[in-house]
Amino acid sequence: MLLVDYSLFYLHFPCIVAVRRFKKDQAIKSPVEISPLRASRLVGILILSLSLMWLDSHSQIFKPVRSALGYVLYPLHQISSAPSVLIDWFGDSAKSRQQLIAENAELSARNLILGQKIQRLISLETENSELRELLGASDRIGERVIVVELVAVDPDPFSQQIVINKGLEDGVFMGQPVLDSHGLMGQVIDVLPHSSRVLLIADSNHAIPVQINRNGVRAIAVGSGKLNELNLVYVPDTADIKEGDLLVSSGLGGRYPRGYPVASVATVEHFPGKAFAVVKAIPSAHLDRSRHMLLVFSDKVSNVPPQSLWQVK
Amino acid sequence: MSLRETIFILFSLCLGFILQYLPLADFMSWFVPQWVLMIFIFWQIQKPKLINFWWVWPIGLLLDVQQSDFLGTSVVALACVLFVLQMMYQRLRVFNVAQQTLVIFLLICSFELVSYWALILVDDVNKPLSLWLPALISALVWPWLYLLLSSMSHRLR
Repeated sequence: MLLVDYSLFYLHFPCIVAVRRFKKDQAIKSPVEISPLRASRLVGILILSLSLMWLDSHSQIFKPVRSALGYVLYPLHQISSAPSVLIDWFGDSAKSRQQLIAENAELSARNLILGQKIQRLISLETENSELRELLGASDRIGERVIVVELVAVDPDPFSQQIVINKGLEDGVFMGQPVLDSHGLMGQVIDVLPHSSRVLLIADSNHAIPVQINRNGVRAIAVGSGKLNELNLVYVPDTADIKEGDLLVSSGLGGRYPRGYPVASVATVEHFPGKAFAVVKAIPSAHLDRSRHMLLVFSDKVSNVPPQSLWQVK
Repeated sequence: MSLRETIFILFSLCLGFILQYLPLADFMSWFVPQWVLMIFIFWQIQKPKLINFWWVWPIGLLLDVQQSDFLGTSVVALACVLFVLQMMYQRLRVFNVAQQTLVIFLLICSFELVSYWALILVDDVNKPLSLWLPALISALVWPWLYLLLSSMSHRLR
């Protein structure tokens, strides 16, 4: 009897396999008739979009299109940043009373110190303008700022860019300087209606004219692509530059306002036989940590100059 | 039925744009799959009747504004991907998961490469090409995305 049972099992086994195969075959649907993209049409699309790219890279006529598409994307961006906003709110509301009291005490202490510094600043500013008048130099123009918040960080590992939550409707313009409470952070490179994109000073495509606060030696700080390092290029081997020197913006490019801290010199290396010293500096601004930043509006800093002035061709 | 499906496709594409923009912690910054492109490819495989080449324009332009590239960069790449897909979508349907994942990897690589070529053609950019990582991450995410979207589209029917 047993033998018969086994043989039955073996007889059934290929049947099961066959049924399985059949089911798999049935999953294949009948082909759907579509009109495929013909090669001539593809070439048409490619030519159209390439010419669109060329126009967009060489002129400003598609700016309204860009900002209209920005309006479409705005609600989606709001939704995508909702989780982090929610977490922030939850973190704030879940703080204990003790923590809040300590924070309050610390903030009021700092406020007192800053207030005292400002008192001195007012007298120093008047003194400075008097001295400038004596020298016949033009007065420094006051600057207006607005506070912006970080919305996103560009995930591209080869570029150091961030997105902030103010845009065209708040008066942000191309080339506008951005700073945090410790120093210069970068400049605005793309403006959408409610957000804009900032190129950080550490990006490898960015350079900023600086001078040493101690003695006024000028240099150019080029981003290294790493957030915590800037390179000073074309510094003569004999220039008076030491570790720990503070570099401030010189305002020579016409893009950044004068006198804001940019970086502090970390290492100075001299190579015999080379004309320039290798100088590395650490940015003063907290490029990787700051959540709140300031956008500077000043009359010295204007819109980007026409392309014919700075494009090298 | 077709209207409901179109609305669902639009909804899933919106979801893709939201996911692509999601702010991530520093240690996860390498995790950026091409969500929009993958969702587009999925609908091209499942519902080729509904997706024609006109879709390339709005999706591509929105992607360009989001990444602040020149307008049209993604359109070029999307059109090329669409052209390849329309020749092979019937084969892609009967492939198993591993084969599909491999094809998706190659498609996303070609998307990145074509948009890079277009950028070089129009303006000399000196940005290094980040080809492998987005394609690899996207290919790893693909099976789950495929399961999720196909179960949802079955329920819709």
